[in-house]
Amino acid sequence: MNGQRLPLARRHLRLATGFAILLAAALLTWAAGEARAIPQAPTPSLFEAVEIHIDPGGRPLAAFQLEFVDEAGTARIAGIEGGEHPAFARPAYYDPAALARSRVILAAFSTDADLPAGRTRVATLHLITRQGVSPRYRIHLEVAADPEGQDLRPAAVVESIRRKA
Amino acid sequence: MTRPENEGFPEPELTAPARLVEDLRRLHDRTIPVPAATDAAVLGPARRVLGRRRTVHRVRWVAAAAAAMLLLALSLPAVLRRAERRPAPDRIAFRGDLDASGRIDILDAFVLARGLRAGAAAEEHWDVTGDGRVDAEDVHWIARRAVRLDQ
Repeated sequence: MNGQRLPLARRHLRLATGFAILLAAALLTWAAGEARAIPQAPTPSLFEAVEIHIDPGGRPLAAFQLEFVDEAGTARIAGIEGGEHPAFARPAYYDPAALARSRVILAAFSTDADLPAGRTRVATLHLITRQGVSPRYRIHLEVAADPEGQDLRPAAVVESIRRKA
Repeated sequence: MTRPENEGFPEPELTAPARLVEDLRRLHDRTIPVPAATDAAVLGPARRVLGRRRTVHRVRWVAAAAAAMLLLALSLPAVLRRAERRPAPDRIAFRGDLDASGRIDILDAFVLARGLRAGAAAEEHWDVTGDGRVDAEDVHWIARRAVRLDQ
């Protein structure tokens, strides 16, 4: 009969059916999105060690400070080791916030009488990189000083050596 | 239907007798003469009271200014002594910059460590932690500050 209102129960049933259809559609859309978001295969991580060497040019190295950064932003710092010479055997000072980042400032000094005057490894960084991605490491020597606090940078050389961890 | 009482009958302008008008005007224009003695009797005490109030007010201001100057004079030597003890601003830019390079780096920690090792007399600005002592903690504070990433 035209113009007559549906009974209340039937109207409720229709509303519930419509709501259920909408809910099912939303769930399906969300599930499809989730399925797409799951990577097919995770990119394998690689571990790499970067040795940092300083050559103070024949004068005793008493203090250094350097900035290490992966300009590509792909490598993550996982750990920091000390150097080879007893004067710098303990790990250098660094900001703990640098861990899991791609930039760190390292600094150390020694008041010992026995200091390295030749090329010496002052730190080793352990990094996590991803396969197929090339990090671009850059080191900037900010401070290099002898026991008198004299700047050694004009003669000092800093370099990094990458090796598989 | 009623009619206003004065419709069609304009009210005549009322005029008062000239003498009455003159008397009324005089009543308001009249200046009452006050004898000079009465004036002096009223104004004299009023001036004395107001003069006393002004004096009290002035004395209060002078006392406040004197107290302020006394306070300044008392605190000046202490301020000057403090300024003498404090490193000159052009020498030390900020806390931890011991070598006055304008930044905190490992050389500041090194300067302090060397000084401590040599047994040099501690300078006030070496106490960067503010704990009243100059020791290895101050060295570590500077070194940690030097490597902070957010500087």
